[in-house]
Amino acid sequence: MRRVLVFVLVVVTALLLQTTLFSDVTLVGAKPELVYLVAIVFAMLEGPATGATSGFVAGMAQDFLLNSPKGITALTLTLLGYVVGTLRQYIVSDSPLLPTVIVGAGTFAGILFYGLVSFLLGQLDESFGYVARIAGLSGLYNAILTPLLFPLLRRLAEGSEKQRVGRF
Amino acid sequence: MVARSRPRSVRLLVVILVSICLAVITIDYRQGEDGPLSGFGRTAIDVMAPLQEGIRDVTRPLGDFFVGITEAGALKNERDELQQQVEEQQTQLAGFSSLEARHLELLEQERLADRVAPASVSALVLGYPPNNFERTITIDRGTADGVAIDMPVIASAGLVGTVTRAATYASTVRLIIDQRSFVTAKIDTGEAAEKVVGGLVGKGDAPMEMDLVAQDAAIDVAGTTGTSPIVYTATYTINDEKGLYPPDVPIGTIERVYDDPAALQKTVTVRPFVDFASLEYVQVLQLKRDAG
Repeated sequence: MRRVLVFVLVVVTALLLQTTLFSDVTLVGAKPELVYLVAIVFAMLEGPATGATSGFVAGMAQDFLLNSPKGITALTLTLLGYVVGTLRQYIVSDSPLLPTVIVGAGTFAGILFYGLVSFLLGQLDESFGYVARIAGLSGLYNAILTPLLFPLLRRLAEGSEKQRVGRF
Repeated sequence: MVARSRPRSVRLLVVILVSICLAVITIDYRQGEDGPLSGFGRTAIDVMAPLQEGIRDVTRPLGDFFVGITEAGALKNERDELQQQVEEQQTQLAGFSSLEARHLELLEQERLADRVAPASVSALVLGYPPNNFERTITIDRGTADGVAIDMPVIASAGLVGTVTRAATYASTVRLIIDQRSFVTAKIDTGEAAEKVVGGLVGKGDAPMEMDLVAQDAAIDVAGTTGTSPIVYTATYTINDEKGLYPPDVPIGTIERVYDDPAALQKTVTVRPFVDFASLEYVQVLQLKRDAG
């Protein structure tokens, strides 16, 4: 229960910052995608099952604030969480840069996938070049934020895990 | 056996979640604002609105600070005591100026609203969409304040957009630069104002595009007075249904005219007057879309 509450709190905070502060603080016109960052980090820390579930919940929360068909972000983050959680099991590296690279690449791929699904549904009329530019800039922005946010998110995830183990 | 069943259960979980996503997309895509899921969306913006307002109040100085850095392009690292005092005084003055500017902005908005609509309501801009592709804003007025879907929204500089989702205490406004926005507009060319009419569509960060402009329309980009012609909202009635916007609300100025003699129509690009990145207050025009 504590883990769920921590996760919900993190997602709501990410959405609030995304819709207020980070609308002003952009990188060459692009905002970071904090919900993508949260979903990817949780998938890295907890594995594919939790990655897919947390991606689904976080994506659905973002979808309900958007004015386009709900479920597209949830679909994107469910698959992204599963893929990142699965790939992480096969990567053996202690490099501190690893989370930064995974978050940056994951965000880039996720936004391209979101753009493709939105385009197929007739909800996006932007050129591929524009979508790729936004995906690249948001991926870069998320990568820049990862060294700041990853330790915090890991502490929150581990803190809630300890509590759960302690109870049993 | 146990080692095999675990990945299989994870894959089953992913298949279930993806199926739910596809079902949600299909239901919401087909039913839109009338569907069962749109109620959750309205509840979500009602719940988030007060939180956004609180966060906005707290982070606005921080946001302004970063915007300031971006615009200035440099930081001053060393200051002596006298410089600090001067800067503190300047900050105080800037604060007063900012308040005065907001007051003037609201007065101008009300003046424009009074000219084009019998009733309007002022609203505070709470936030922007959580992704990079939508061009919408969330405002702190909803159905409890008389706001309804399809009501036009303006700022002192001109047209902002239209209400596309109205919750009880908050609403979502689609900006005219959103790619799904369409505004019937006319170009003020001086003598033949009503003749040059077209459809204005949003293009995101790029200038808006005005299509369906008659090929023989005379549009002088430099204008007879040395300034580009101004684009205003225009009225239209199709199948006894009026357009969304009241007439004569300024939208922007013409940036370029694409005049291809082989084409059946002209295409005009329009730079909007409103700075959508720094909206603080807007006016919702309480107009009903009556049959014409």
